[in-house]
Amino acid sequence: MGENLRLHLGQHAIFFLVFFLVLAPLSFLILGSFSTARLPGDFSLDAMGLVNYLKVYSDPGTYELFTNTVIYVGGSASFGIIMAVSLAWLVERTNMPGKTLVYAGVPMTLAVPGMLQAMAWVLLLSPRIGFINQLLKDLFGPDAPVIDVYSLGGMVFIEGLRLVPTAFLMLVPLMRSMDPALEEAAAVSGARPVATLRKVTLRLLAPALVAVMIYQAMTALEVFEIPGILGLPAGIYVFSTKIYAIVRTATFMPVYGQANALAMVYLFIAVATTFLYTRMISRAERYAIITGKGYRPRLLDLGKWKIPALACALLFLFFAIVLPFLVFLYASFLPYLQAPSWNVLKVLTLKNYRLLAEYGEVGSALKNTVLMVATTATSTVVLSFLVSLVVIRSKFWGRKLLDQLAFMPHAIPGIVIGIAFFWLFLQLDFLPLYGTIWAISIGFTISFLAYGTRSMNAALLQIHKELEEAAYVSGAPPWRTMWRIFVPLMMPTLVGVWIWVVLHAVRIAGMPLMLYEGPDNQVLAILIWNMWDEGYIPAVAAIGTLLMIVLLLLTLAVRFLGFRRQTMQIGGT
Amino acid sequence: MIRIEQLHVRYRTERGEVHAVRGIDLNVRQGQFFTLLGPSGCGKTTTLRSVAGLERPQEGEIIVGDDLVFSQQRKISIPPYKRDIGMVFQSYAIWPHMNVFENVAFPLREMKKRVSQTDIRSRVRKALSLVQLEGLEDRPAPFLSGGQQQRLALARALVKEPRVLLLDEPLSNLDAKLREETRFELRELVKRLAITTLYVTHDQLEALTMSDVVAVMDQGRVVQEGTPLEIYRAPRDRFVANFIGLSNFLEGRVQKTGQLGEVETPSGTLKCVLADGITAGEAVVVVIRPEDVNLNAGPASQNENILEGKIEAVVFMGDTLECQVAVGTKLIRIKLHPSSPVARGEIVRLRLPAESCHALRA
Repeated sequence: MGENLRLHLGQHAIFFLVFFLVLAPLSFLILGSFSTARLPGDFSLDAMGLVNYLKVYSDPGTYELFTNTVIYVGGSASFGIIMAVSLAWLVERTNMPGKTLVYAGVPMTLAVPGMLQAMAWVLLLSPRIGFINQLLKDLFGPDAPVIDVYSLGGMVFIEGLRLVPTAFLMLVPLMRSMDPALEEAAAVSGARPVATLRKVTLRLLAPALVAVMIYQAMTALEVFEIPGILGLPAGIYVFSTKIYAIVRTATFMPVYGQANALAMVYLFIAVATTFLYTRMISRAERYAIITGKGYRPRLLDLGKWKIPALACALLFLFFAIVLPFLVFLYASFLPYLQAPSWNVLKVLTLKNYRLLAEYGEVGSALKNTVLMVATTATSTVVLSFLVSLVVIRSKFWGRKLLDQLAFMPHAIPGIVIGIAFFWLFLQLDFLPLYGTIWAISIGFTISFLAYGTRSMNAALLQIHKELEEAAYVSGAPPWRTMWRIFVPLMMPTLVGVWIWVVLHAVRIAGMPLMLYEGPDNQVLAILIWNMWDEGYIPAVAAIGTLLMIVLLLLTLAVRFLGFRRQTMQIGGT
Repeated sequence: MIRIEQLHVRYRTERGEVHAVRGIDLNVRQGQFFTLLGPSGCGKTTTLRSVAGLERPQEGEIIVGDDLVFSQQRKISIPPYKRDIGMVFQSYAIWPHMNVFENVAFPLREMKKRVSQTDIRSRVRKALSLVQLEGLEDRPAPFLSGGQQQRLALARALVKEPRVLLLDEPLSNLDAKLREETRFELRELVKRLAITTLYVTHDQLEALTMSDVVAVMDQGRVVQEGTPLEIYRAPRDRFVANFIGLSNFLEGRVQKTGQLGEVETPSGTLKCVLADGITAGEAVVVVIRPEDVNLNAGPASQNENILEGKIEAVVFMGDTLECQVAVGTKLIRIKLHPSSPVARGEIVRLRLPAESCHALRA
C-alpha cells in the first residue's frame, strides 16, 4: 500500500505543479490588465478598473497595429509556404539534381537565430549603412533606388525565409506518402502534368497545406525578434513589439496594465488560431491521401528547367543561411562597420574576438546562458517526461486535464508568458526569483512544455504496454519500472528534446527581455540585443558568428542522431 | 492454488462501459495445467490479467497460493509486483534495451531480498537451460527469432520460481509448424516443474492438447469446465459444440426420454443421448461430429440412426475428404478417409451412432 500511496502523491504533485505553473501567471496577466496601480509591485484588488482597456482600444494606433500585424503575419506565412511547397515539391516529385544538398541544407537554416538573420539583413539593406544599398549608390549615383529593410516588406521577407524549414519538414512526408495512383488516374484520364499538379496534387494537399499555413501564421504572430529588429527603429509595431515597447518605456508612467490589456487580444488571437489549427489537423487526417505505405512516386521530368530549379533552391539556401553567416563573419573582422571593398582587406582585425574575451559582461552572460539553458532543457525534459507518463500510462483522474494544461502554453506567445511571469514574480516577493536567470528558466520551461509533452506522448505510445506490465509482474514497482524500462527506452526522445530546447532557449530574446533586470540575469540573446541597440555592431557580429557555428553543430548533431522527427513537429523562431 | 470467486470486471471505453467478466468462479489445483478457452472478447484475458493484478476487478476475490491478492469486500488489492507469479505475454514483452541475460535477471534484481551476483548468474543460467537458450546470454534481445523470444519470455517468467505461471496466448505469434512443436515442449516443461499454470488461448487445439482442465468462456462467463475429452465429447451447449471442433446441428423435439432418448427432427427421428434434465416435448438441438458419421451400407444395428441423403459437395482437404450431404432440407457435413469412393450427386446412407448424437437444450 505504501507504494500505491507514493504513486498517488507523485501524480498529484505533478498535476498541481503544472496547474500552478500554467495558470498562476495567466491569472496575474488577467488581473494585471485591470490594475490601475502605478507599478505592478503596488498591485492591489482595490485599484482595479477598465482604464487600461479604454486607453488601449480608444487609441487609433492600436488599429494600425492590427493592420500591420495582419499584413506581417499573412505576408510572411504566404511567402514562406509558397517557398516551402516549391522546395518540397522539387525534391520529392521532380528529377531536380542536387536534391541531397537541398534535403540537408533546408533544415540547417533552423540554426540561424531569427535575431541574427534580421541583423544580417540590416547590414545588407539598411538605407544608410546597408552594403547593398551602398553598392547601388556607387553604381547609380546618389539618386539610386534604396531598398529599406526597416519596413513591413522587410519583415515579411525575412520572417518568410525563417518559416521555410519547418514548413518544408512538415510537407516532405506528405508529398512522399501520397498515393501515386491518384495522380496516375488523372494522367490516364488525359490530364497533362501541369493540369494534374493543379487539379489533383494541390487539391489533395489543400487541407494539410492550410493546416501548415495556420501553424506558420501562429509562429509568425508569436515571433518577437524580427519585428523587434526591423520594425522598432522605424516605429512600425506589431503586437509582440508593441507590448515590449509599452513595458520598456513604462518606468515612470502607470501604463504596465496597458501591456496586459493589449496582451489579452493577442492571447485571444493566438488561442483561436491554435484551436483552428487543431481542427484543421484532424480534418487533414481524415483526408485519406496518406496511406502510410511509403510509395516512391513517379518523378516529373523537369527537362531544361532542371538547372534553373536547382538555382532557385540554392538561392534560398544562400539567402537563408550562407549570406547571413558570411555577412556576420565579415563584419566580425572589421574595426568599424564599412562596406566590402579591396581596402578593407588591409584593416581586417581580430580585435572584436579579443574584446569578447576581455569584456566581463560577455563572460557573465555566457555563464548565465549556459546555466539557464541547461536548467531549462533539463527541467523541460524531466517535467514533460513525468507529465506524459501520467497522461499516457496512468489511470490518474486528471490526466486529460493535465494533458491540456501542458499543451496550453503552446498557444501563448513568448512575450505574453514573459509579461505574465513578470507580474507573478513581482507578487511572489517571498520567492527571490525576479531578476534571476531562474525566472527565465521557469518561463522557458512553461513555453517548451507543450513541445516536450507532445514528443514524449508520441514516444510513449510507441512503447508496447506489455513491456511495462512485464516489469510489474517481474516484481518492479512503478518507480523502478520508470527507471529501468521507460527511461532507457525513451533515451533518444529525452536527448532529442533536450537538444531541441537548448537550440531554442539560447536564441530567443523576447521572453527573457520581459524578465531582464540587469547583468545578473543577462543572457546571450539579451546581450546581443543590447549591444546591437547601442551600436557595437562588429562585436555583435563576432558573438553572432560564434553562436551560429555552435548552433549549426548542434543542429547537425540532432540530424546525425536521427531526431529529425522532433524538429519536424514544431520549428523554431 | 488459484481460486477465483464471483469475479466481476468492468471497464470504461469510448463506447461505454464493458462488463468483461461477469461472475466467474474457478479453482485451479496445485500443479494443474488450466486453460481458459474462448473467442476474442469473452473475458479470458481480462480474467488472467486480474489474477496478475494488471486489471482491477469490481467485485470478487482472488487467491494465489496462500495469499488473498484481491478482495473487494476486504478492500485488498495487492499490486502485481508483490504477487508470487510469473507471466508470459502475447507479445513476449522482451525489453529491447537489455540483452538475454539482463532480461532474465530482471525479476531477480527486483526481488525484495537481495540476491547475490553469483546466485543471479547461476539462476539465470538454470532458467535459460530449461528453455534451451544457454549460450545466448550476451545476445541483444532484438536479435532473437520469434521462437527464441518466446522461450526467453518463459525463462524470465520462471526464473523467480513463482508458484503460479500465467500464459497469455504465448503461441499465437509463432508460425504454424513451430507452434505445434512448442505446444508439447511447453506442456512437458511445466509438468516437469510441477508449476500451477493458467493458460489463455482462443485456439481449441492448444486447449485440447495441453490442458488438464479447460474452461470454455463466452461473454464473460464460464460456459463449461472439464477435461479436454469431456469438453469435446459432451459439449454442454450449442456454443461449446460450435466453438470446439466441427459440429452438425439438427433442431428437433424430444419424443421419448430414457437411457437413449428419441428426437423428432425434419430429417427424421434420431436416437440420441439426452443432456441432464431434458423432458419429453422440449425443443432440443442434436449435435453430431462429422467424424462420427459413417457411410457404409448394410443393415442398421440397435443403437444406430440411418439417414438417407444426397452428396452435394466433396472437398479434398488432404488428410480427409469432407462431404456435404443433403438430408431433407438440412446439409450435414461428414469427414471421410481421403480414399473413399464418393462422388457428387450420389445417394448415400449415413450411419449415426446414437451415443455420438447429443441432444442439448435449444
